[in-house]
Parts: sequence; structure tokens; C-alpha cells
Amino acid sequence: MRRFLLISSCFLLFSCGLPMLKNMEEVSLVNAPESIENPYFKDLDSYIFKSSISIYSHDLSGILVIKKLSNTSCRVAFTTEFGNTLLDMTITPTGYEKHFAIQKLDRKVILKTLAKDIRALTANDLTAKKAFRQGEKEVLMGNLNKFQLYYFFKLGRLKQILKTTKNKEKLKIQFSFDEVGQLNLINLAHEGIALNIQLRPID
Amino acid sequence: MPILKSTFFVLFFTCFLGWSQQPLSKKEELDFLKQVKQTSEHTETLKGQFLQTKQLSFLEKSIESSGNFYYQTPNLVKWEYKEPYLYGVIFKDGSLLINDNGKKQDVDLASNKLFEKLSDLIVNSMNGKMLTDTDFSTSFFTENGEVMAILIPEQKQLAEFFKAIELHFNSVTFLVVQVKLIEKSGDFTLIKLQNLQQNPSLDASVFTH
Repeated sequence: MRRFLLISSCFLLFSCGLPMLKNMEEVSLVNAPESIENPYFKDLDSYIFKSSISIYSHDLSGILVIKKLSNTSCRVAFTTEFGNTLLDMTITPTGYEKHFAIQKLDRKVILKTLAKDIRALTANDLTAKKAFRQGEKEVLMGNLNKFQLYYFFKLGRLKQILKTTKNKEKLKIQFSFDEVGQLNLINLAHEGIALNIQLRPID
Repeated sequence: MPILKSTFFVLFFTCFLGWSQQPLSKKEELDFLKQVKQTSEHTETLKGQFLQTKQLSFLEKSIESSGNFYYQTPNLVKWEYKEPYLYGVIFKDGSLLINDNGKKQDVDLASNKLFEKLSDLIVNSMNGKMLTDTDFSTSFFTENGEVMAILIPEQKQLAEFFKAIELHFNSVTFLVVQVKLIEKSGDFTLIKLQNLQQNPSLDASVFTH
């Protein structure tokens, strides 16, 4: 009984570290999948979005094109609605290679943040390191570089990805669906910086 | 023998393509510019549809969008995307009025050089003034019966965005029917203007935000 209480309190301690995992119970990985599938970016394919970026009350809209090259790398272009390329870069598993950026966007902090966000959004097949469960909700955690990615599934559908350090939320990616269940909005919100990215699939 | 045959075809079509694009003589160029100017002077309004195709080198498929456009002399333009998303912009009095699927925004063109240049580009393509703009080095060709102008930006700000701009003119109406914006990387945006109506009556509400 004492051992059971000890294990339970350990689970409680870990699961309470992040507010999003509150009331969730860490469960054994034995019954969880070995790797975490990101159903929206699992294929090495092209993905096109109408996007709005809001940074410190400045709004920028355009078309975001993502071509997946591997599970953690992709080529990305951001253009205006008129087609002018504003940014073109390859996101590698740990960094990025800039091909083109207009002067206004050509800042290390902007390119690095975008690369990290898109890598977190599109990562697929990460090894599951932890699993949590509560009713119809399941959370799988995998590591991406020095961050943890928590994948929140509800009835088997991926609803949210949370990127964190050991105990702090950094980025929240939420997936919304239309009435027939098609993905129609991806919202990326940063913790601590007023940076918000909205992506609507147009392909 | 098959190699000889295919070489012949390659050569034939290379020559054919080479011949199909002929530079205009100085006289033809002056006549053409005169015609465009006359058309522009007799054009108060324009409306039509556009089909936009964006080609990125790393993408197998192109990105297509389409919608309606409206122009009123001297410098009012509305560009309205209908597919695959709703997005409208009105270039008006030094401002860019954006309607992004219901979300409205005013952008001061003076603070946004890219959109200021785009505004000039769209307006001056419609009225033909781009052809005599000293910000570009311009050369003229005929291609399949149409006159094509190739404009190379001389100004640093424009050269950041475009390596060249190709404008195609209808040989009867002398209106622009196709715009190709070529970027430094070789990626390009092709805009085809269709169902052009010259001097239709346009309701003032068209240019209302």
C-alpha cells in the first residue's frame, strides 16, 4: 500500500508539473505506440496554407508553403497573396539554411523562431518517451532537440501539440476542424512573446 | 536513327522558339508605345478576371488562385481573390485597404515599400506607364502575334523582389493581358487577365472598404 502511494504521488508530482497535464495520470508505455504519428504532416508531401502572422500587434498575411523532406526537416517558403516570395529556407533537424529573405524578415531571431515553430509543427514519428491518460484523452511525449513535445489526442484525433522545456510551456499548437471533421485551422501561440501564427489549409 | 530524328526535332523547335520571339525595331517600338498611350487615354475603367499561378522551384505543382480585378483611372485598383480563399485589396490614395476574409486592415503604403511598389506596378501595368518608367530598362519583342515587354528593374528596392517583369499586350486592344513577375531565384508569378472589359460602368461601392 505504501509503495502504491509512493508511485501514485510520484505520478501526481510529474503530471502536475505542467498545467496542461493536470488531472492526467502517467501510464506505462507498454500499451502506447512506440512512435508518435503527427497525422497532418506524416507524408513527405507539400502543404499549402493561407496564413496570418501577428507579432506585437503587427499583422502580416500571406501563403506558407511547406515541403517535407524528412520527419524533422522541410523546405519552407512564405509569399504574399500576390506571389512575391518574402522568405525561403530549408529547416534542418537542428537549424536552418536561408535561401532568401526580404530585408525586413532577414533577422536571426525571426528566422530561428519560425524554423523552430515549423519543425515542432511538422515533426513526425518521434519516439514516445511518456504517456498520460484521462478518460478519452491521451497524451504522448517525445523529445525534439532540447525540448519536449506533448501530443494531445482526444478519441484518437490529434488536437494539440505543446512544446515545453522541462517545466515551462513555450509553444501551443492547436488544431481545429470544420463540421465534417476536416482540419481547417492551425493556431500557433507562443508563451511569453506576442507571436501568433494562424494557418488555414488551402490545398 | 532515332537519335538523329530527336536531335532534328530539338533543333527544329529550338529554332522555332527562337524565331517566335523577335525584337521590335525602333519604329515598331515607337508605334507600339503610341498605341498603348492612346488606349490608356481612352480607358477610364477596366474590369476582368485574373488567374494567378505561382511557381516555386522546389514544388512539383504550382499554386493557383483567381478572382476579379477593377481599375479606375488614374490610380484606383481593386484586386479581389475568390479562390481558393477570400482576400481583397484596394489601392487607394496612398493606402492599401485589405479585407482578409472579413478582417479589415489599412496599410500606409509609405510604410510598406513592397506594397507601394506592387501598387505602382499594378496601376502602371494597367495604364501602360510602366513601359516608359525610368526605374526599368525595357526591351520589346513580338511573340505569337502579341507584343511582350521585358522590364529589368534598375532601382535597388525593386531589384530585391524582381529579376525581371514580362508584360504581354493584346495586339488589337493594346491592353495588358499577362504579367510575369520573375524573382532573383527564377521562381515566378504568372498573372493572366481574362474577360477584360474596357470602360464598364463601375459602382463607387467597388472601391469602398
